Amino acid sequence: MLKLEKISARKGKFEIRDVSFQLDEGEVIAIIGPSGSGKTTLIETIVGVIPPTSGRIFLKERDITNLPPEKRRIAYVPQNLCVYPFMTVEENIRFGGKGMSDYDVKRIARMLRIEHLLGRKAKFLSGGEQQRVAIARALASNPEVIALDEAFRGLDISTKEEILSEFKEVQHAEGFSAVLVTHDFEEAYALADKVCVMNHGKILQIGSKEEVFFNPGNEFVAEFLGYSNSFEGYANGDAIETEIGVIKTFNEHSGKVKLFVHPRDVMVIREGKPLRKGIAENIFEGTIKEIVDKPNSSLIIFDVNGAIIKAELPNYVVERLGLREKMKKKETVKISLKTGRIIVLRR
Amino acid sequence: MRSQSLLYLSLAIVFLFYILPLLFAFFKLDLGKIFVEMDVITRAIFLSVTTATFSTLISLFIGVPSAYILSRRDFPGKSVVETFLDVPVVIPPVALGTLFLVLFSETQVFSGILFTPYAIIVAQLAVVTAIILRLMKTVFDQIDVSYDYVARSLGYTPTEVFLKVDLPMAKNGIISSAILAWTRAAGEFGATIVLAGASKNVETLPISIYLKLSVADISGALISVFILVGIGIAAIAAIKRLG
Repeated sequence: MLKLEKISARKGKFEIRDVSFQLDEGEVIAIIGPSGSGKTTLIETIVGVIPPTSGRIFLKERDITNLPPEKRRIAYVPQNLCVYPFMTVEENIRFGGKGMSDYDVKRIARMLRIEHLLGRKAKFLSGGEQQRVAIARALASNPEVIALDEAFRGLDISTKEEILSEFKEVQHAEGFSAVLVTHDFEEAYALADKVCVMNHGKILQIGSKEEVFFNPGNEFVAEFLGYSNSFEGYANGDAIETEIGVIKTFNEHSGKVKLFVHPRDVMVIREGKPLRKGIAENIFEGTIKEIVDKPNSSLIIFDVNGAIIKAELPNYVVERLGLREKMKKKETVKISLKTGRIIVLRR
Repeated sequence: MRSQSLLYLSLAIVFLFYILPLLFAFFKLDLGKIFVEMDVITRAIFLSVTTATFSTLISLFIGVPSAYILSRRDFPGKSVVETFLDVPVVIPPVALGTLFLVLFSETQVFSGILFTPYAIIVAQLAVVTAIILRLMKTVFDQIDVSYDYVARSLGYTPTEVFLKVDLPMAKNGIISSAILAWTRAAGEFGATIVLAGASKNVETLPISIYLKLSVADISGALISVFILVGIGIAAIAAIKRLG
């Protein structure tokens, strides 16, 4: 469907190099990476507003590398949405689909729940409404691909959840493919089939969202995706000698390695409760140094043999286990690293 | 306290430099003379209004697309071109008029229009096109280029994007620039006197002031002054209304 072959491009000081990936029909790919990693340059190259310096882009076997944006059938929804303020919502939608019938305008508006706003001037819309209009306008052009650059940014949590679920619904119903640039892992996980991690203009990892989020392929990706517990060690079979002790893994390794564990994969053991498989090994004892409160979960920072281990636990678990009391009394707490979730990378 | 003193100081300056001369001039105004010189005044207003309208329309026609291209396209030597386009803004209109006078009289191509009402339009054009270009480039620079990208991705050619997206988005900027250019053209004197001279058939409002002053007719000159001041205030009010 959409195929990038070794695409390189430059925009100001940002440069992308040898970017290749393939997107099948109806698939969504999320491009994630830190600021300045080249995500926007990549999406603008796909849309056609930045000419590539080398490489080729194919859309349904058609070479679109040198085609202007208006001939590509890739609708663009940029960060600031660019809903035309001097037009009404209906005019914005019609701008997307030249010669659209009234029926189609209403169908798209209904799909994005903006039917009641059709007559309103776009400059009077809220952020969430503008997002819906921008997507409706893109859909109206009947594109092969929709390219969204941080298009769901800046919304409150409930509106964002609503829009993400609507987008997914519409994407399934209409069957278009999408390239999505985002900073938000939850958004990427919710919408994408594939995830591509970029840094310094290069793809560091690409794969299914499960592969990338649960099996980062290199140190940068692991750290970027929040695997903030890392230990250097020496592997001998399924046992790895580290600064906090021996860590067991599912697979066998050898030589110098680096282990990564996501805070969500660190469990606190309740005394006297039988341990289920997977958390019965890799148990360590430590004291709580700090509890960082967040709206739904807390980050618990443990001191284990002088090393720091972070665990992310739902707030009700923190309260139920009395972790704040234990922190005050400097009591030792047993924690377990989920064996199946430990990422081992060769050094 | 300090900011209040600064406020009083700026109000005093405004009063001293603008209000006070206007007040003095107003009391010197001979309203009866308006009726006596109605014919001359009407002709001067008509000539100023028509030439300013023509020159503004022509300069919009040239300036708006040029400003758009300068804003949106990068090309080798762009900064040099921009510097040259700024030259008419910074050099005195009388110098600009002199350059055109030399060009026209030396090449003989347009020498026929010198010292005719057409020369007024050329003089105004020389001054206001640069103003329109500069103002409109700022207007287009402020329109996020992503609006263009979206339209292109929806199937519109660059010309269609200019006509259907950027022109409507720049509407208020175009109107404000046109009003400012029109008032500047209506009040143009330096280049006009060089290219069109100072005679009855080219008597715009500023030329009228000059002609009246040259025969020490102060109260006659003040009538044209107040008409120009009125035009200026109306223009500023209109621009403010546009936001």
